[in-house]
Amino acid sequence: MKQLIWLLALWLGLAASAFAIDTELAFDDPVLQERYRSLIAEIRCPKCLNESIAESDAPVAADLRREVRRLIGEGKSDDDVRSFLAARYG
Amino acid sequence: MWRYLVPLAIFLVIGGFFFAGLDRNPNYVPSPLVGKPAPVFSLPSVTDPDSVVSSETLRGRVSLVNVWGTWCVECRHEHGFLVELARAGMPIYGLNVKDDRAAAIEWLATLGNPYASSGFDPEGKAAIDWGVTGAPETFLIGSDGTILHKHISPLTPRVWERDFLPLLRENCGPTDCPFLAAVGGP
Repeated sequence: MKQLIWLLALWLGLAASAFAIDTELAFDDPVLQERYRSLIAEIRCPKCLNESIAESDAPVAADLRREVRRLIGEGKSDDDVRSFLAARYG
Repeated sequence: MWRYLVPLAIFLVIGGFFFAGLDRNPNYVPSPLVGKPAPVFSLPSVTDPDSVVSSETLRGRVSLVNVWGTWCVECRHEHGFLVELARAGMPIYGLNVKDDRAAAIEWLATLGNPYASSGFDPEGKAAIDWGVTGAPETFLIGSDGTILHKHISPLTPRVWERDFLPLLRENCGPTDCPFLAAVGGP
């Protein structure tokens, strides 16, 4: 039984790491990196609606991650990023 | 009596939801751009890097903007119909995304070129401003530059008749669309 639980824990751990497509740090600044991480986890992928753009490997998700990175890098606020994407993708 | 009616009622309610869901498309996301002016863009042409395809190019007549790329299998599927529309006189502009220029030129040479011109957008930058999620996608643009309709997935005669023709008839002034009779026929 104990072995089974360990196995389950291991499996869940592997599964969770498999969801992260975008593993490289986008920003050296931990504050910016955290904002980036939470934004891409919040924004849904327009091509695959049950995934966030952090989880999706659709090309459009990669493009949108790049845009989010660019906008944060330009000093835009989280709301600016949201409204930028909402104006284009709804 | 209740023993039978309660499960039946539950079944009917759940069945009703499933039945209503049959015809709905879960991937349908209405574009916020419909009814708004087409995004401002300016791209070099695929076939002639020195000439420019831009928002200005679209102004003054009703046209289609079609998102394509040689990596896009479904684009090949719709290409024949685009060529047919172009032959009937429908102005079509291409937005070539994330493609290789040589491959794109080769594609147009072998399959025919339905585009008045195609903007070359290798990084998909303009595509993001257009809210493009993939290819093929086709926009119907009014003569004032407003986006009248957006269609995701290949353009087929059926979609053309169902979604595009009524909008064309509605939005074409007496002189805007000399091609209307030709593209409206079967």
